[in-house]
Amino acid sequence: MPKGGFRMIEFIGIEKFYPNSRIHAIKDASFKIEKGEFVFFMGKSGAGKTTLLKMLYKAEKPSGGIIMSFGKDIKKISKTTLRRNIGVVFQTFELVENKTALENVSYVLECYGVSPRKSKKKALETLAMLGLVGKEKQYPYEMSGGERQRVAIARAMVNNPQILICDEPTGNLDDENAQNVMHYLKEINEKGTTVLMATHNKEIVREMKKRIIYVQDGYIVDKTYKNNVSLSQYIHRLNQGGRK
Amino acid sequence: MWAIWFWLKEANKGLFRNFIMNSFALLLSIVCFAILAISTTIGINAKYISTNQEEKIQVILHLKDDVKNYQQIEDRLRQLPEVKSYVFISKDEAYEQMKQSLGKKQDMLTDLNFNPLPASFEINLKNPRDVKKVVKIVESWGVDENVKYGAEFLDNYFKVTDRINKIAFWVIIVMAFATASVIYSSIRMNILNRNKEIEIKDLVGAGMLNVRVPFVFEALILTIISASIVLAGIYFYYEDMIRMLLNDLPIATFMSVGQVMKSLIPPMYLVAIVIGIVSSVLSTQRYLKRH
Repeated sequence: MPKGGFRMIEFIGIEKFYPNSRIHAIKDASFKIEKGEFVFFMGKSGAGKTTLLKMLYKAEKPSGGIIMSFGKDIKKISKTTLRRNIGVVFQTFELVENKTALENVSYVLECYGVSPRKSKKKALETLAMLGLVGKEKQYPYEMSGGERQRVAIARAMVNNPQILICDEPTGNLDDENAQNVMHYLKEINEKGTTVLMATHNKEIVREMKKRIIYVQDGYIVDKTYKNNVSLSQYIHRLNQGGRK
Repeated sequence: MWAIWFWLKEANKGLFRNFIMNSFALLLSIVCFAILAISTTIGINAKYISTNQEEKIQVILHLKDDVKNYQQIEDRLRQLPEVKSYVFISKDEAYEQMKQSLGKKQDMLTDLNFNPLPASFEINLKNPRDVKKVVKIVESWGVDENVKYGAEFLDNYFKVTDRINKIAFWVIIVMAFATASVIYSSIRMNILNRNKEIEIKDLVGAGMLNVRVPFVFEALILTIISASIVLAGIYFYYEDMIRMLLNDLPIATFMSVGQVMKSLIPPMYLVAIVIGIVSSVLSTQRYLKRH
C-alpha cells in the first residue's frame, strides 16, 4: 500500500440497491476524505452509514460507482490487502470471549504469520497505548464495556492500519466510557491514522469539532466539504486527463 | 514458518474444543484403517508366499517300491512347465537322512533290519497356486505311493485370501466414505464452533489460507493419528495374530513384521492424507463459502 501522495478515500457516484427487498440504500454518494482526517458519519438508523463504511472494507459491494482508496480503485485491491490496511471497530466489540485481551490483540498478528514473541510484544505496546496496562490477562467478560471497546480498538490498530473505521463505537457505553474511547480515537488520529466514525451521539460530535458527513435516506449531505463530484463529472475529468 | 505453527495451534485448539465429535471421527477412522491394514497384510502375505516362499511349498512324490524307471519319471517332470526344479532321493539316501535326523534314536530305524522308506522326488514349483494341477498329473502316472503337498493349508489359504481381498476392497471403499463423511461433519461442527474467530480472521484480512488451512490440518491430524495407532497395533501384535490364527504353521512362512511395516506404511499414510484433505476441503468449501 502506498504511504502518501494520494487521496485516502474517494467515493464517486456510489449506489447500493438490494434487489430482493427493493431497497435503494445509497444513492449517488460522492465524497472525498484526505489522509489524516477525522470524519463523522451521522444520520438516523437505517440511513446507510454502516453500508457506506462496509463498502470501504469490501463487506458490501456497491451496485454502481467507484470507490478509490489509497489512490486505487478498490476493485483492484484484494480483500486481504485492503483489510490489512483498514482497522474496524464495532459497537458490539466482537471480541473472542475465551481469549484474554492480549490474545485477542496478538491473534491478528499471528494470523499474518508474525512470530508469537513479536505478536505479543506489539500487542502489549498497543494495549498500553490504549491505557490497558494490567488488563492484558483479563477475559472480555471480566472487563467493563469501555475496556472491551479499547481492546477492540487495540486489535484494530495493532497492525498500524492507515484507516480506522468505527461503527458506533460508543453506542453501548456510558458517557464516561464514551469520552474515554473518544480520547483514544483522537490520539490515534493525531498520530496520522484516518478515522471514520459512524455515530448517533451529537454531544461527542459537537465536542470533537471534526468534519461531518450526514447520510439521509441514502443521500450524502456533506456541508463541510465543497469539492465533491458526481460520477459523470469524475468520468469527464478522467477523459480530460486529470483528476482535479 | 510461523504461519504453519499458527495453523497447527489453531487445529489443535479446534480438536479439543469439539472433543466428542472429533473422538468419534478418530474412532471411525481407526476402524477404517484397521480393516485396510489387515486386508493389506493378508494380501501382501499371500503374494509373498506365492513369490518368495515357493521353495518351501513342495510336492513330494513318494514312489512305489516296484517303480524303478526313475529316469523316465525325471524326463516327464522336466517336460512339465509348472515345475521349477526337482531332486531325486533314492531309498538309500532317504534311509541315511532319516538315520541322521533321528540322531540317538536311530535304533528305532536300524532295528527294523529293512529300509521302509520309499524313493522320492521333491518337486519345487514356479507358482505354488499350480500345486493341485501338478499333483493331478503326477498321480495320473500311477507311480506314486502317495503325494504330499500341504493341500489343505494351501487350498484354504488361497481361497480365504482371495475372498478377503475381494470383500476388503468394498469394505475399505465404504469405510473410507464413512470416515470422510464423519470428518466432514466434524469439520463443519468445528467451523460453527469457531465462527467468531473466523469472522475476525476475515475482518483483519488474514486471508483464505489462514481461515481454511487449520481445518485441513485438523482433519489430517485425525486421520494420521488413526493410521499411526493402527500401524503401531500391527507392529506390536502382528506375530501374535499369526500365531493365534495359524498356529500349525511356522512363522517363517509369513513376512516378518519389518517387511509388513515397510509395505504398509506408504499406502496407509497416503490413504490417511487423501481422506483428510478431501473431506476437510469439501467441508470448508461448503461452509466457508464467503471467505
